[in-house]
Amino acid sequence: MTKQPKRSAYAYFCLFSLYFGAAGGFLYPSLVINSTDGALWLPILLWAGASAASCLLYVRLLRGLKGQPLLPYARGLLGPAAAWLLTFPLLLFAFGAVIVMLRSFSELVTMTLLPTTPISFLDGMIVPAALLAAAGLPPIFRAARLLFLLAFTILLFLLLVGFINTHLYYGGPWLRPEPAFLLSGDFYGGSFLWMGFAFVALCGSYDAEESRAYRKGYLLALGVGTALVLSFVYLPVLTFGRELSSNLTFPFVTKMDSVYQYWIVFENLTSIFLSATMFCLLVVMALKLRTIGSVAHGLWPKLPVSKLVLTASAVVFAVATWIPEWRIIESWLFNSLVIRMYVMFAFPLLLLAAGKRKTAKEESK
Amino acid sequence: MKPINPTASPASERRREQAQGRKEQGRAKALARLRTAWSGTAALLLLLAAGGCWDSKDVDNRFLVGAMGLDAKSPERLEVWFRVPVTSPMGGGHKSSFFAVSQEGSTVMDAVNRVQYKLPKAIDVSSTRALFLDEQSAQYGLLPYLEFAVRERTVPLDAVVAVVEGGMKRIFESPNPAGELAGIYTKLYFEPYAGGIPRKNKTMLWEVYAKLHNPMHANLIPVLRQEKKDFIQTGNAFFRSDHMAGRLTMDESLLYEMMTKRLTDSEIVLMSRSDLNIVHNKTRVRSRLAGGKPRVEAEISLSVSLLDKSHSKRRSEDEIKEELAEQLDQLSKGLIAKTQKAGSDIFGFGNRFRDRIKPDQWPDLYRQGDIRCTFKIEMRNTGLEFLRA
Repeated sequence: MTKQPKRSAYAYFCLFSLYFGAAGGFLYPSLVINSTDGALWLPILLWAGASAASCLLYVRLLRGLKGQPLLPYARGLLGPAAAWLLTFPLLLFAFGAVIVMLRSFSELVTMTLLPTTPISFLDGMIVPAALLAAAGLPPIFRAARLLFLLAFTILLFLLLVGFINTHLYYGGPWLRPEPAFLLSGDFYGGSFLWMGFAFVALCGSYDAEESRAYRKGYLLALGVGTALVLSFVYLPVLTFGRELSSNLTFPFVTKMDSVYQYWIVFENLTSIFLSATMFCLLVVMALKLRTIGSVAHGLWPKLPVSKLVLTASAVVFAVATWIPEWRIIESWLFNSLVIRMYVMFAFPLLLLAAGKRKTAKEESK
Repeated sequence: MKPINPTASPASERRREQAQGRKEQGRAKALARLRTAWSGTAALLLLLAAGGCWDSKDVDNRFLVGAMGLDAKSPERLEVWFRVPVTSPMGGGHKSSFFAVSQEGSTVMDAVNRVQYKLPKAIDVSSTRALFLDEQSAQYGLLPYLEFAVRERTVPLDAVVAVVEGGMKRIFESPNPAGELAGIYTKLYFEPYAGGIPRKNKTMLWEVYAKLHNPMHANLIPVLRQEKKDFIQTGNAFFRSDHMAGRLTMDESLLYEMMTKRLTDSEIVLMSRSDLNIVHNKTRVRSRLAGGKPRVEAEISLSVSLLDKSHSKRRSEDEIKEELAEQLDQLSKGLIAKTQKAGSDIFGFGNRFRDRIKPDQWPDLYRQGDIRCTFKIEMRNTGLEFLRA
């Protein structure tokens, strides 16, 4: 295997931030708003904390890899059969994540801009992402650095103009937590936003230095991403109030529709927002497809990653185009919670425990 | 693999290897050129698809609606009016700068579809600048008439909204005196950067729709009436839930703007003996629950300048300020009593109690609330002439 060049914390920061930009603006706000009648920042910060904890688990795991990818390490640690069993859910998880992401964005474009364009055509946006994924992880990081500057400049502008016509009193209750949100499916459905680090950990090789860059990049991006997500959630609420916002499928998109100022020369801010999201989405889908390729390569080591990526892209395209109703996407968000919790916590904990056991055995010998 | 010729000399062997190497290099170059050409063609093909438009209609083949009017005939039936600007290329022989067309339907979208039976081009409501509602639809309840705009994203959410007195026909069929395109005229009428003044209370579609869902904040929508040549504003209609509950005069509307911190531009106040220009307004609202009842205190600070005192030559600054405070105090009492009686919190005070009560409790609590306004007035200047009592 060719040795990959070292990546800086900034490169990781760009990629992780794009993940928040791609996943935070359309599906997530409605889930948070509907999860509670109490303070909205509480479920967001809880997930941010869980995400940081899970990332640190992965960092502990990655720093012991000594320059190899995670899945071959798992194979060496557990043996082929056990590794296969532990890894297969990751494949399902990655497939589900990219299918939902692709189809929900196509659906968003259909609902807002291009109502008569066939879904199969819109789903075709997976082609550039698939080619980027097949080219490898370094091009994904390079594209992330470029598109981060472009997409986040646009998003920053949109967030700033989004403060027009907002009133703090619409955001209440600010200080009243409602523990009932812990029983809400919407609260858990939003977990997909907080696990961008897991995709990166599953592809690529790591050692102590690389894992430090990974940790620094993610924690910085988590700070930026949390601020971004708070804006995506609160700007519509502070404009329309809690009641209407909870009825909207994409609250931030409707918020963009409502912005009108004489000095803003752009007529359609929604399409600008969708373009910025698509820049983020392109890189994030490439990352997810690359993860599918890496995980599948871990399961079937004889098959080349690039071919696995292209095959997976075809499958993702077919399934995303086949989905007949929006409700199926929503039900996947709610029903895939167990698999997401497995990826966030159970998988790294199992590997850490197995690694510890192996070390203890070696020491006793 | 080719058999080795034992009679071949090392030199000829070298020449053959060199020739083979050149051939392979040529083949690799050709392959690279082919790959470049293929990538270029693929990129160009992708570029073709970049537009993403499907079944799109040229702007020449569309009627872009400037203003829409919803005229409820009964709770189940409404007539939708469209005012379409006639641009010069398509206006050959057309005397007017616009044409108006109406269509009945059971819903707005039904009427939009049916009006297509009458027209040679596609009707496009995505550039609508103004949405008019007749008094009847405001009585029946607005929500069913406006849902289409948000759900389908057909009408821009920043379109201005107004209630129309006396039917839609006149307002839609009368030409605008200034000749502006239909819709643009109405938009300019309300916009602060053009003819809008605070009393006109510019209200956008998204605001109306959001307040229809919010039990703690009621709507206040401008009311227009068509005169001989142009329309005028006669007041603002306040709503309870989605039903019209009463009217505010233009002066009461000015006070509403002050209480809700919407008074950003200067506004003239005409009094009995002097005319003042409000140049700055700051409002501080304090709210609390006392014995289960809401108590709201709005402290309104105004900075004014004197425009005219011709009606009374002997007035001091203090007397003018006192008269203004008294006038505003009377207006505020009338305004608050009117809206409390209807249970219509147009000020959105209820939102300040979100931490303490359930939203549905608010309309009843608003009725029982103790709401007071106090006024603090400063005379910034008296213009270029001294005011001597």
